[in-house]
Amino acid sequence: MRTWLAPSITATRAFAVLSLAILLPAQSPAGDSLERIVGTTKSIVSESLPPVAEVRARCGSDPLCAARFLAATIGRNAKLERVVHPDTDQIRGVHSQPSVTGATLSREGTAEIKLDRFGRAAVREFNDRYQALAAQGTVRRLILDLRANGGGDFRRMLKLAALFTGPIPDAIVLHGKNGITKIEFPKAQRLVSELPIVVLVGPQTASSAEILAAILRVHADAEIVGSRTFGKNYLHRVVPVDHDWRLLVPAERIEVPGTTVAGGLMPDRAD
Amino acid sequence: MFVKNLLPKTIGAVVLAAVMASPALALEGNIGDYVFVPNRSSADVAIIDSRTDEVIARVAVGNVPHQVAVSDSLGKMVASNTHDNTISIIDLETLKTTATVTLGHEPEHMEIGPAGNTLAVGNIGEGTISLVSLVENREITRIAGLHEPHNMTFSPDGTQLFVGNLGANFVSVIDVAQGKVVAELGVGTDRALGALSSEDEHQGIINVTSTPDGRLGFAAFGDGDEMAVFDLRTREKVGEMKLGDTPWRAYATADGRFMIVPNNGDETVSVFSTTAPFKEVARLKGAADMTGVNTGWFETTAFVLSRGDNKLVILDLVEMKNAGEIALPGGTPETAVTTPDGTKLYVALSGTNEVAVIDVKNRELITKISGIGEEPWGAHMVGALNYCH
Repeated sequence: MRTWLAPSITATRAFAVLSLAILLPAQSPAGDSLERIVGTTKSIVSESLPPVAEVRARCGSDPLCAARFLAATIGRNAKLERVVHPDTDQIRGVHSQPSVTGATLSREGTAEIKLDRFGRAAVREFNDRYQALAAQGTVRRLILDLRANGGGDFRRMLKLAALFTGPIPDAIVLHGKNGITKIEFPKAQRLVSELPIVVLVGPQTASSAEILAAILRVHADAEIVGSRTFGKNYLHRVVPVDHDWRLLVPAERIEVPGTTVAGGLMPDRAD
Repeated sequence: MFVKNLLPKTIGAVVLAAVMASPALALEGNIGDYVFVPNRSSADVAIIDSRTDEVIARVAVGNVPHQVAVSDSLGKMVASNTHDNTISIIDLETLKTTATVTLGHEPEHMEIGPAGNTLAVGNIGEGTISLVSLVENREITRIAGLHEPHNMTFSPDGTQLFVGNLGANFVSVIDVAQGKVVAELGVGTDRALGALSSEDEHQGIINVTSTPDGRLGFAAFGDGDEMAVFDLRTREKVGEMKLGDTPWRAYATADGRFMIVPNNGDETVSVFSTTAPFKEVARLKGAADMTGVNTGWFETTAFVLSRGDNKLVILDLVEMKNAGEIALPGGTPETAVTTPDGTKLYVALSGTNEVAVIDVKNRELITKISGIGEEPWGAHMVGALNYCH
């Protein structure tokens, strides 16, 4: 059996060279938080958004008011959201909500892994669970279940995707305010062998999860099975507002050359 | 050497009770000879005499003490009682609590200013910083506008406080005299989210780690896999670098030559030069859930604490290579402190309620001290490079 995952987490070192720096919006100016919130939001969305002076005239120095005003100005895709404060024990790795919620290996050698989120330990979890299955027996096929995955951190998803794809130039194209940027996957040894992959999707498969399915279709020859995905093919950029609130600003539209994600990823076949 | 580990548990309990019941012992000699260990579950601070490796006192504080700080100029120890939203101020002459000060929600991390009379406390549950006068034993001001404030670093003159925001990708700069945030220094790219719901586990900036001369500060952004270098005098960003996957924070060597950054996502450790262009001089093998790095013996050796694998990973900083491990079965190392002379390392083991003592030069375990308390969470010494996770 050719293992398709690196025997250790060291393979993920390749992620360090992911050229996500090209996603950089302009550096937000030092200054009070109002300036930062307005400046960062304008750099992501549009310079035509209200200037700091206008926001300050309306809101004084209240960052939450400023964020509400900006969200209303931008429109429906902007979200002012309450921060879910992580238990600092989670940050220290004491406990964490699992990303992999199921992993089985059939007698026929079909490994099925259910990935419900892109948590901080998602790559490690995935690696560990797969290695455990491979230790049980020969893996001849992989089913990746994304039906309950509503997305998550974009970078973390890309780190997981790179386990399957290896070096892919221009794998993802982002269409944003500053034009088109292309993300190149790292020039690393391909970690995925010719293992047949099936990705299960459905209407709850959203955003980073449906992008992952699209990436695997195009670059890992995965078969997509189920029903059309949610259809959120754009990123939000996180602008911290205050301790309890953050502004999610619609940023780049995501394109996976070779397939269509806009409107939802259509499966190759139904269940 | 404290030999409790050779005694049956019941006899040890009797000895422990004697330590607790005896009149509080004033600390003799140099305050720098003592190791202070907060115990989260037993709500006290153990004091170890590093000359004998014996527990000489356990001082009751509030519930869930997260960190301790010591002002040697004032002869006071402070414990942050995270559950009670207070700090306990203890007189080191009498080992008695002289004040309990109510602060904001969930005070966790603390930093004493260079003069020893001002204490900054991060109320991580409400996004504020309390500035406390240790002379007057009271909160002077509470500063809002932080984002899950974690560790803090004073400028050498004490006029500025640099705060790592766990909930953001920028460092907040506080003007101490004005009592407010005066700047936000960005690190890396704004976080990209492709999701329907907001639940997630973010990791912003744990700390701004300064070089020993206080000139430069290194801030790692966990979710961005990046680190920025700031000139702490001018607040100018003077460097940026890519790290490994999900870096924790930077730890300075005492000689100021290197910054050591554990990358928890890929279990590696980055070693950076502190001289421009801040090159990564080595990427070494780490372990799971690394929450501390300590150096010593003329900065030839680093110990990386792995909570996940219950061990210390040893790094040779001369040859820049891995140099072995020290297993601590079941121990769950939390944080540690190297004695100021660089010869011994004290590691808090929450899993076994002990403190491991390491010979830094020979890179081996000397002993484990028992009778510490329950769930020791850290170790602190005056004059050492202290940190908390």
